[in-house]
Amino acid sequence: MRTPILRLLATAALVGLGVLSGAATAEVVIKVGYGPGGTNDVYARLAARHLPRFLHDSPEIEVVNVPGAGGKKLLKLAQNASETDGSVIYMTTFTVAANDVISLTAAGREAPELRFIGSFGRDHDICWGKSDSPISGVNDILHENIRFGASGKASITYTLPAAMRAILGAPFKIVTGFAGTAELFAALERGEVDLVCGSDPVVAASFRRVGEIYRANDGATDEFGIPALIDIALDPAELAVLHLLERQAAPSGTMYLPPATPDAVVMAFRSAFTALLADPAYQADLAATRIGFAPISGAELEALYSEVIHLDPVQRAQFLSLTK
Amino acid sequence: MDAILIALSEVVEPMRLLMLGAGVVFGLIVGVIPGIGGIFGMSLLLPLSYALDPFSAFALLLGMASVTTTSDTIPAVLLGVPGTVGAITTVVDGYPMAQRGEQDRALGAAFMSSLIGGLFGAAVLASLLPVLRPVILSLQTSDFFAICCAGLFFVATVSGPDPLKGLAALCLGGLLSFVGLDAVTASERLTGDFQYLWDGLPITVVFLGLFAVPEIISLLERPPSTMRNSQSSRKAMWGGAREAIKHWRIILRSSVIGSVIGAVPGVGVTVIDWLAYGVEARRKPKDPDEPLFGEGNLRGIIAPESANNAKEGGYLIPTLAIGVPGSPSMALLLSAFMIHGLAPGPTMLTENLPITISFVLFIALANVLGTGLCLIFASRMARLAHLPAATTIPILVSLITLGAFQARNDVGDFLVLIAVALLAEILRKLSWPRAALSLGFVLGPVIERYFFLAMQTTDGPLLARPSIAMLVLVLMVVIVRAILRQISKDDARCAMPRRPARNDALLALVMLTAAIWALTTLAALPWEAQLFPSAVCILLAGAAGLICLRVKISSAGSKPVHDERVGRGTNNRPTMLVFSGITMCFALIYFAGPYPAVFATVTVAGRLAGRPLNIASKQAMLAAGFAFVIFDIIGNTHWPTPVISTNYFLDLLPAESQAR
Repeated sequence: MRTPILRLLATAALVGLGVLSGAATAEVVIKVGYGPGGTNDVYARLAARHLPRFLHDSPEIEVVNVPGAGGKKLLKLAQNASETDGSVIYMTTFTVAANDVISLTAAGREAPELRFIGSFGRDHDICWGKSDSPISGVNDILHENIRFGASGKASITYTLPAAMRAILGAPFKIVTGFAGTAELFAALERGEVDLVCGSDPVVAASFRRVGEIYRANDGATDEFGIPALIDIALDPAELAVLHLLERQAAPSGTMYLPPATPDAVVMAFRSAFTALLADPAYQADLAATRIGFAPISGAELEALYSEVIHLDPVQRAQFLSLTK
Repeated sequence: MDAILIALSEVVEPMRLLMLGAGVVFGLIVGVIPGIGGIFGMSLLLPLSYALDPFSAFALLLGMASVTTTSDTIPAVLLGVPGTVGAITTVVDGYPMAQRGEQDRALGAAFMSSLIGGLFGAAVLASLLPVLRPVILSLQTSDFFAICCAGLFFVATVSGPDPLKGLAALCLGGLLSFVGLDAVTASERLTGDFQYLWDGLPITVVFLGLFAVPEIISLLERPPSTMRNSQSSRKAMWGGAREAIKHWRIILRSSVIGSVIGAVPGVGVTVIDWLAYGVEARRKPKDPDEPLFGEGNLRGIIAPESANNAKEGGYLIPTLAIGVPGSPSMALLLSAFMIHGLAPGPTMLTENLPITISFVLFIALANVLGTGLCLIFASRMARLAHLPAATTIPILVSLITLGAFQARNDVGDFLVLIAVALLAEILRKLSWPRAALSLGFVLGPVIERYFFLAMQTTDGPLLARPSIAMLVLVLMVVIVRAILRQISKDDARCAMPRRPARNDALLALVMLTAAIWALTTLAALPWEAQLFPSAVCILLAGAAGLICLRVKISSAGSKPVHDERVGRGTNNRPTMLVFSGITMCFALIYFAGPYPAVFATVTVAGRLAGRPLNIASKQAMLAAGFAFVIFDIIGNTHWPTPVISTNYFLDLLPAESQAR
C-alpha cells in the first residue's frame, strides 16, 4: 500500500464487504428437531432444495439439526424464539407440539400460538416386532418382561405404548432414550426391546407388523390378533380422547413458525408450501427417497392445534393420564 | 467379484474422480482452518450432492470427510493450534517438535501415519463387509457403555502426575457437557435460564477455548529466540515419513483402535485420539533417549494421526450395517443415503453392494490423494512456522473468533469462548490436565445415554454382561498397578505430583462450590435428568475437596508454598492481549462486519508489535481476504447485520436532517 489513497480505498472496500456480508443475503434456516438421516430430516432437506423457488427473492434455505427429547427441545426453542420474520422455520412432529400445549394448559399456563405452515407426512400407529417375534396376540404383550422402545417421552414412540399400557393396565416397560428411528430398530433387531410403535423401519425385511393401535372402530383386529386399542376402550369419553390422540399423533414433518409471526409471513409460506407439493421436480425427488408422503395444510393443523388447546379440563386430564 | 468390478468401473469414471478430487481439496482446506471441521464441510457439500448420481455424490462427501484429519495436522504442528478437534492430541507433541525446528519431520510422520491409518480403516471396512451386520448386532447397549467407560481409563494417562486433578477436570468436563435440555425429559439442566444454553455448550467453541486460545497465549509468552530455528525441507519431511513406516507396529495398533472404537456410535474422534495416544504413552520406549510424551515425542504424533484417519472406515460400519451413524458427519451422510434412495442395512450388501464397495475405494483413494497433496504443499506451508508471532497471532485470533461464531451465530458463542478460554488458561497455568476435561465433555452425554439404556434393557445385573465384568476387572488391575507404583516409587517415568499450592486449592474450592450449586439446582429435576449429573457433581466435589484437604495438610506446620506460576510476579500481558484481541474482533463483527473486524484486529496488533502501518495493513488486507474466501465464498456464513449498515446512525439524526 504505497499511498494513503490506495489504503483508504482498500479499507472502504473491506467495510463494504463487511456490510454486504451481513445485509445482502436473505437466508432461511429450517431447524429440525431430530438428528440427520431420519424422515423429518429428509423432508426438511428436500424442502430446502425446492421451496426457495416459491418464495419471494428465492432465499437460500439451510437445514440445521437440533435433536433432543424427541423434538421437545426444538419446540421449546420455537416457543421462545424472538424472530418473527420467517427467517427460521421449525420442524418436528405435530404430536410434540400438541402434547406440550396440553401439559401447559393443564398447568394453567398460556398456550403458545405456533403458526403452522404444513406437514409432509403422517406417522403410522403400527407396532413392529422382529420378523421371528413370538408375539401373536394381545395376551403376549401383557407381561412385565415385554419392552417397548421409545425415544423421548414427548415422542409418539412413547405416547402410543403409554396409552396402550394405561388402557390395558399392562405391566410392560417402555425403554426411553434411543436417539432415533434407526437406533430403535437396531435395538429391536438386537432383541433389546420387543416392540417399537409409531415409527416405521427404513427396511421392513427384518421386522413384521405385530399390531396397530388405532383402527376404524369397527371391532376389527389386525392380522395377528391384537385388537386395535380404540376397540378395547369402551368408555365413550376415553374413546373421544383416544381419537384426538390418534389425530394429533399422525402429522409428521410439521413446519411451523414462532408465535407472533405476522399473518403475511405465514401466508407466504403456506402458499409456497402448497406450490411445492404440486411441483413435479419436488415430487420426483421425493419419490426417489421412498419415504411416505401425506401432506396436511397449515390451516388444518392450526384447527387441530386449536382443538387441542381448548380441550375441556376432564378430557385434558384423561389425555395426560393416558400418555403418562 | 462382479460387484468389485462394477464398483471399480464406476469409481474410475472421470466425473467420480473429479468429484473425489474436489471433495479432497475442500476437506484439506476445511481441516486447516481452526474452528471449522468435518461436519461444517459435510453440511456445505450435502446440498450440492443432491444433483449428482450416487457414486459421484459419495465420492464428493467421503473425499471430504476422509482427509480433514490429515490436513488439520498442519496448523497443529506449525502453530500449536489444532485445525479440527481431531488434531488436539497432535499439538501435544507436534508443536514442541516444531519449536525444536523439527516441524518437517513431524509433518512427514503425521501424513504417513494418516495415510496408512486411512488405508487400514478402509481395509477393515472391506474385510468386515460380509459380517458387518452380525458383528454390529451382536453388540448390546451395555457393551457400548463398557467401551465408552474404557475411554475414561485413559484419563489417568492424560492427567499427568496428579490423578486427583485429572479426576476433578474429568468431572468438570462431564458437568459442562450436561448443560442444556436433557434428552429424555427436555428439562433444563444447569442453564441458568439462558436460552442459548438449552442447546448445550457448542463443542467447537469449547474446544477452541480449551486448546487453541491458551496455545496462542503460550506462543506470546515464549521469547522469540526459542521459537523456530530451522529451514523447512522436503527431505526432512520424507525422513519423518520413513520413520513413521519404521514404527509400523504403532500405526497398526492405533489404526485398530481407530477403526474399532470408531464403530461405536457416539464416541468422537477426541476419545479415539486420546485412547491411541494413551496406549502409546504407557508403553516403554525402545530408545531411552527419546523425548518424553508431551515434549515432542514422534510416537505421540504417529499414534493419534493413524487412529483418527482409520476411524472413518470404523464410522461407516454401523452407518452401513444398521443405519445408526457412527459420528455426526456420518449422520449427514445418512441423509444423502435417503435422498439417493439408498437404505442402510442388508440391501447395502446385496443389491447396493457395488456402492458399498465404492465407499471403501473412495476412502482409500481420498487418503492417498490427500496425503500426496499434503506432502507436496506442506513444505511450503511449513514456512508458516518461521513467521514471527506478531504476524501469526492476530490472524489466528481473528480466525478463531470467526470460527467460534460459526457455532450458532450468536453472541453466546463469544461469551462461551471467553469463559472456557479463561478457565483453560487457569488450568494451563496451574498444570491441570485440560485433556481430561475434554474427555469428560465428550464422553459425559454418551455414557449417560448408554448407561440409562443399558439399565433398562439388560436382563439381570449389569455386571453379568461379559463386557462390563471385563471393564471392572481391567479397572481393578489399573488401580492396583497404580497403587503398587506409588508404593514402590521405583519407576523412573512415574513422576511424583508437584506439591499442591494454594492456587490449586483456590481452584478446587471454586470447583467444589460449582458442584454444590449444581447439585442443589439439579435436585428439582425429574430423576432421569438429575441422576447422572448429580453423581458427577458428587465425584467432582469429592475430588475438589480432597485437593483442598491435601493443600491444608501439606501446608500445616510448614511455610506456605509460593506458587511461581501465577501471582503478582507473573507476566499476564500475553493473556490480556489475546483476550482483548478476541473481544475487539467480536465487537467489530457486530459493528462493522467480519472482514473489517479482521482487518482492524490484525492492523492494530501489527502496530502494537511495532510494525509500520503499511506493512501491518498489507498483512491485515491479506488476512481479511483469506477470511472472506473461507467464510463467505466457501462457507456461506450468515453474519449478523453490522450496525453501520442499519439505519442506526440515521435514526440518531433529527427528523428534518433525515428528510434532507
